[in-house]
Amino acid sequence: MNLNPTEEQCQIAEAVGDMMRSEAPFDRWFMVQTDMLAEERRLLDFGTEMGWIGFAAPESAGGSEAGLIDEMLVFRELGARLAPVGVGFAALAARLALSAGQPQWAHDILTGQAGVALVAGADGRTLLGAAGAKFALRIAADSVQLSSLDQPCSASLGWDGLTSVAQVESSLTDGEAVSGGRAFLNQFRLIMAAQLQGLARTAVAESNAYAKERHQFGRAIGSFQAVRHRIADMEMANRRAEAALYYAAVSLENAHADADFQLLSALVLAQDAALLNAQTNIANHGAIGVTEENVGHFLLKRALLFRLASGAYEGLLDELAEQPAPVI
Amino acid sequence: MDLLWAPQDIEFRQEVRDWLGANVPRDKRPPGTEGADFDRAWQARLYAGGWAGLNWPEAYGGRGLSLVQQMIWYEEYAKAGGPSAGTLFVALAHAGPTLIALGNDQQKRHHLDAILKGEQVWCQGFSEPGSGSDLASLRTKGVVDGDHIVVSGQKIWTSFADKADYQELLIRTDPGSERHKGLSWVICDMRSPGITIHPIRKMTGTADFCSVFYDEVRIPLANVVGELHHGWKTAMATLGFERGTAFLGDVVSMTLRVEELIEYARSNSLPGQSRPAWQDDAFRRRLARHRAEVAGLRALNYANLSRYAQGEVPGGEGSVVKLYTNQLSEAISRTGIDLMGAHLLDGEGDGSEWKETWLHNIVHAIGGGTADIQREIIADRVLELPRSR
Repeated sequence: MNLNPTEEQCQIAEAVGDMMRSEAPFDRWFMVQTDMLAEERRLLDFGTEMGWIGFAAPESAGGSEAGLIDEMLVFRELGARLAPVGVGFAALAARLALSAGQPQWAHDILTGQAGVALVAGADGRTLLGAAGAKFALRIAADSVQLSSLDQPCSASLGWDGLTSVAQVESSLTDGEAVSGGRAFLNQFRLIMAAQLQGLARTAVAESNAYAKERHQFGRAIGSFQAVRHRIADMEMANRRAEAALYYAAVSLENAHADADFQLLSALVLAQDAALLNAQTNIANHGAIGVTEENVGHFLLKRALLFRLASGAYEGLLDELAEQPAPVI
Repeated sequence: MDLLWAPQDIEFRQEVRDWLGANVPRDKRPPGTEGADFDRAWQARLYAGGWAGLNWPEAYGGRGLSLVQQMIWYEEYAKAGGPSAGTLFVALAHAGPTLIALGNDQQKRHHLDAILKGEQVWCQGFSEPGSGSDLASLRTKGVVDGDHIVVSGQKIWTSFADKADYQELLIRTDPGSERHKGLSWVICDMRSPGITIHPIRKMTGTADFCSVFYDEVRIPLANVVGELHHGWKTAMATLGFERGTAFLGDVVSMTLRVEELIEYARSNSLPGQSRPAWQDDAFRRRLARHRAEVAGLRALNYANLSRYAQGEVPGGEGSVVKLYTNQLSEAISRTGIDLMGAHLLDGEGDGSEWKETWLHNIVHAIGGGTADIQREIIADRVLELPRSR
């Protein structure tokens, strides 16, 4: 029994985090001229090149054949650095294509020639990660569908200021499609929960660093209990989401009977932690936190975007309510 | 990363389950100090069965279990409905381990075996009326007089003082010293002349903690544990002894309580409603959220324990677990209260016990360091923020 990453797993995760920090430092956004859609494209290409999209794909298809636990650890780091949403969608789509007998689709996705968007929004006409997308993932009650897009969609920068979005006719996603069952739904949830928890951790780190550096009334604001206690609560939300994520990943990788239950729990706690921490982080920063010269607003908007994209909170709770009682 | 149990641990779990199934008392532990005899009898039974001092080294009569096996014990113990250590808690979890760490041979001989057998009740004399969260400001003084220390002052919130045989007593022995310096940790015989004990009734109705007054109480110098004037070090000696197992039983209990509430909600309505509470979207989701929260707490305990089992020294993350455990148990009992409504006023039956549970949860959130003190520890030791005090 060891519910923590091994040394090797920690090294992989650290390497991903380091690469993202140098390739995509937050302060690049604060330059007026940054073209965010070009940034998304550049980092998607970078993710392809680094092998993150194919990290858990079979070697025979050009992937690294890592397990779901290892992949979860990579996506935590990507979520922590606000990597493009399309990396996770593509990773899942490539595996789904392979399992559904579409190796050419998988090849195009794994080599970065075809992007993958997610069908979102109440009317199912919003695509997230739409720029360059040739496929779309659609999450259903107990399955995941992958459909081929007949034509490229015209994308613009979405609400979170980082992600390309398109409003499309519903017929666009009616092309040739394949489907995967519960296992793919759970993998989607794990990838999303991992990114949300990574984001929650970044919000703690941002607040913690600022509380040490910012002085008012002659003291670092991190010495004021009002601030310290808020960050302590953020850390509690972060740690419980992290542990639940680990537990869920182990349950899923080993096909435990409680995998559905653990995945739902992990995603609920990750959604909570990301939103709570992103919002509290802005409060901890005061005025600078509400400007575009600080990463806080990106964290907040991305937290909400991922919450909406990863499954309606109420729906997740309804599903959790229907689960059999946990075995203790 | 895995959740695999070694074959010997699976075997151990079965052994624990069998023993507890055959031995856990059917009678409920009497509340508060009334449970003292019950506690002694149960501890004697644990001792006879070879289950005393699970985390004590074998050299001192303990079981010397691995951390994973301790974890299995606490989970199975909670599942089997095993009673709390009650009046023996301080002896088993704190005084004994302190003596193991810093006691001399004579002190160990006199106390350790007796503690394991349930023959000695201990209490903890740390807090004072003016020194609660700020323990290091304590003022009860001890004056060295020949081969004795003469103690005068007052302690408070001393659980089970009126039933205790001995007390771990923290006093200021170096005159003029301040804060953590100049303190001594001494074994106080609670039958010494000059000690007066006044029980204090809690809002739960039990009077299981007390004020203790010391009027020139003579304690032999030989009862100092560790060094004279270095009692803070002795008081802190056991911080690392409890390694992440303290709240495992709570996780099991909370899991069971949430499922109880879910079962109840399936066939009973919320106050003012006629359909089952389970059909109320907001309430069903609240219960489902508790499921996720308890799963998160269980995972958090497992993650911490895994690190300690591999040799990591426990740190401030223990306060994350305590804060979360207290908050969640309060939230769950509050959900119980909202579900039971007017049944809380019924003499006996389904709901009435939830209001007692709720009060107990509120009490527990104070003991061992308040929620705000836990946040301070997290800020200092986990986040390494500049100190507030």
